[in-house]
Amino acid sequence: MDWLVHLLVPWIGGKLAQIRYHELSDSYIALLMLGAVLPDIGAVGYLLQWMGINHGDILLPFHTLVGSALVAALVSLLFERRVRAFSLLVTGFLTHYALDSLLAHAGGGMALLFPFSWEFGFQFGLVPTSSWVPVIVTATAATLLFVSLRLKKRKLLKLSRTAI
Amino acid sequence: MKLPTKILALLLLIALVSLCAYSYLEANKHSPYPGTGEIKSNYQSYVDKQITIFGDVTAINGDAAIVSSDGLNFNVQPINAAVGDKVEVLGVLGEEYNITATEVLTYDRLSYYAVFLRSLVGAGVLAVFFLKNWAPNFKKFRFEERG
Repeated sequence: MDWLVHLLVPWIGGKLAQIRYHELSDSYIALLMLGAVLPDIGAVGYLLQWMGINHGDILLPFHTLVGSALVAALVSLLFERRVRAFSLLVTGFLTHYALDSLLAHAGGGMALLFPFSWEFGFQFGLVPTSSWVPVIVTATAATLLFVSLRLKKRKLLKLSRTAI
Repeated sequence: MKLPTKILALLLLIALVSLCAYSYLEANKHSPYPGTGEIKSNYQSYVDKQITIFGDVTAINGDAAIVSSDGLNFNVQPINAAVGDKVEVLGVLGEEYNITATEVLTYDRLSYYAVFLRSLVGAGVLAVFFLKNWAPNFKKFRFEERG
C-alpha cells in the first residue's frame, strides 16, 4: 500500500484522538506518522534492484514486528522522551501492518512473526496492491476532517473575539 | 541501570544486522514458493512444483502470455492481461518455461507506478509535517520539539 494511505490513517486517528486528549500534540502525531512508514525502510530494496544489486532476502526483517520494533527503538534514541517516542512509533507501525493485511498477494503475505516463525500469511486479500480505493477513501476522510477542524477553530476564534 | 545511548544504539544495530544476516541465509529454505531467482539457479528441481513469479507481460497469445521476470521469459496460461501489465503469478512450473497458473494478480502499468508516485508525495508530506514539529539539533544528535 502506498505511503499516502499509511500516513493519512495515523494522521486521521491522531487528529480524532486530539479532540478528546488535548495533550496529544501535533509533534506526537508526527511520530505516529513516522512509525507508520518504518516497516517500508526495506523499500530501499527497489533502489538496489534498479541498480542491479541482488539483495536477496536481506531486507525482509524490516517488514516484520521484531525488525520494526528494533528500528523504532533505534529511532526513539533520537528523542528526549524515548519511551513516549518509542510507544508512538510502535503504534504507528502497527497501523502499517493492519493496512497491509488488507492487501492481496499471489505468493503469500507477510512473515510478521519472523524470526520466530517463517509463516508467510497475515493477509485478508481484500485490496490489490495498486488499488486507488484506499487512497481515495483516506484522502477524502482526511480532507473532510481537515476542513471541519479548520471551521471549528475559526468558530472558536470568532467566539473568543466577541467575548472580548 | 540506564544504558548509555551509544551502547544501546550499538546493541540494537547488532540485533538488526543479525536478523538481516539470518534472513539472507535462511529465507530461501522457508519461502512458501520458489521465485524466479531460485528457478534460475536450478530449473529442473522446481518442475511440477508450485512457484510464484512477478514480471511484465510482453506478449499475448490467446489465453496465454509471455511474462518476463528477472531475465527469464515464461509462457503463462491461463491469464487475462494486456501487454505492458505487471503480473503476480502463482502456478505450477512445467518444462520449457511453461507455467499453469492457479492465481494471477494483474496490475496495469499506470496504477502500478502510481503507487510509487503517491508514496513519493507521502514522503514529502511526512518530511514537511515532521520538520514543522521537530527541529534537528545536530550538536546533541537528537530532535527537539518545536515550541
